[in-house]
Amino acid sequence: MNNFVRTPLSVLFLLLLCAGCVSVERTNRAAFKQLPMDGTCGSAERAVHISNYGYYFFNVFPIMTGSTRNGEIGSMNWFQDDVTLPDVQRILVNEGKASGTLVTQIQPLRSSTCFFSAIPYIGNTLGIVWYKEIQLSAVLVKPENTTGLPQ
Amino acid sequence: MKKTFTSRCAFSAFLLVMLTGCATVHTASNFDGTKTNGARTPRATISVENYGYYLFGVVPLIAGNPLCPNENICMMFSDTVTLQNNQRMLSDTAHMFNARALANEKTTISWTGSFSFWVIWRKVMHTSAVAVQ
Repeated sequence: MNNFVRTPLSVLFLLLLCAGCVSVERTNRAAFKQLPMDGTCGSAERAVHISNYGYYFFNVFPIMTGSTRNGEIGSMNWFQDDVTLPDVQRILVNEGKASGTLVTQIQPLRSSTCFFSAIPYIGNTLGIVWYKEIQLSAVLVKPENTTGLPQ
Repeated sequence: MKKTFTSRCAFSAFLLVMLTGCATVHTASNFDGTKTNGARTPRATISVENYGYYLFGVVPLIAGNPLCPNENICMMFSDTVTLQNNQRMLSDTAHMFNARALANEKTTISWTGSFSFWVIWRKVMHTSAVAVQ
């Protein structure tokens, strides 16, 4: 492969690696087919799935993470750790507040994988670069009464 | 000759693996009269999974057909691995069990690209819940 092809491909690869660390995916109300959530008073409004990931040195020092700050979602941070449960949950809480819904069925998932190891196939003990991800899924429920509290 | 045959077999196997069972729904309703944490009677545990292959993790190539789960039917160049489709499959299945509500709902997404040196990415979306009476 000559340099003319290789250089754009590596730039594209780097861009794809860096782009869009935070993702927020939602459904609409129709997807629930009028099924409510158990233990809630109200109708299921939407399901939400939020994920954020980043790369770390030795699984501790952040290299690049997705930004969870307001107005910065979709961009990335350098050397700043936003792949934490409170940061991801803030997006979810803001989503609930903005739509006037209750946040139910909160389910977190945290995973970290060794991306580049000093000695391959020896396991994660000597990992140099790590990939860390936090996912949070929830269902937003429209309360029946105006106070938002179950009656 | 032998090499061509082997490579064709490998390619066919690869295609089969890629095309098989993209959207699946698994259920378990053997509660034997037990109750879950709520007061309602559980009808079925539902596990919905859909996956697809994406060029550079962006352009959809092959993905499961959420309209026909468990039928090994795939869709080309259409992004069907979405939360909306998984939720719809989950709700449809819950209705089949005459459920009146959903509990313990959870969704996870995983991306894998190392098998193709990060050219083709596989996205798997898994949604599960308990359908209750």
